[in-house]
Amino acid sequence: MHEFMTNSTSISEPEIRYRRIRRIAGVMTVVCSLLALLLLPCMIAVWSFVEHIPRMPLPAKLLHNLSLTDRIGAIAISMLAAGLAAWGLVSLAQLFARFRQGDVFDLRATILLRRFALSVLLLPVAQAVVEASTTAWLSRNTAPGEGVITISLSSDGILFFVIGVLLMTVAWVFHDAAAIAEDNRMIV
Amino acid sequence: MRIVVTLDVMLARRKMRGKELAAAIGISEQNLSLLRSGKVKGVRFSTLQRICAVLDCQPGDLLAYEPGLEES
Repeated sequence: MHEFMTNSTSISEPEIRYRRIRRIAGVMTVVCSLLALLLLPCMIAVWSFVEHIPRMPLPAKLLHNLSLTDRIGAIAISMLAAGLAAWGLVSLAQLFARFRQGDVFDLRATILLRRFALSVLLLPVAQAVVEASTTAWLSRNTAPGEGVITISLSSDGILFFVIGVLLMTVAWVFHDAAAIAEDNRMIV
Repeated sequence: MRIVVTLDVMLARRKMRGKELAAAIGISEQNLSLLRSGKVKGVRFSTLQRICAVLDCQPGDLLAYEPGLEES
């Protein structure tokens, strides 16, 4: 086994790797938690200044003269997708927290990975629902026949879906492998 | 549990401590403790063989089948 010398102590290679995992996992736990926490303020900021945001995926005529009720409703609807993303990010933060504790391939970690994969998988669907609901909400007071409902699926959404499916498959394999490893640990 | 581990009885008969047995058969004290309390899913033949060699007994002296008990 390789050994590395530091100032006054020698640290084994596995210990160096473990410390590196702990350091990276610790950073990622904080980053994922912060991202999850920032989603609500971001939604509020977006709907507060939506008129000034270029290339919003909504019909421009719906975004003029929005009332406070319109904005609050739109934020609430947007939270469906943002909440799903936050759930995925919180699962990822918990996963990294487990990595930090040294539980890399245990059953709980694979369940958390599966939750994150599920959130990635469902995000494009949630976005499509949010978009349709938001346009319906914002056009509710328009004259009869002028109401708008936009339903779209972007190439980004399809990519997210495909990545989600792949992640789900990987998480499923890890879960079964972790179950087998756990079973083996129970045999002395 | 249907299979009951009676290792404690054999250890008492041989007047041997768990720590000594763990060292003699080359498994950790933690694993031996799990085995003694029956909180394991299985015992490898190699482990069973070493225990029998050290305690001079048969596998039947270490394990017992108790019908009627719930399997955990």
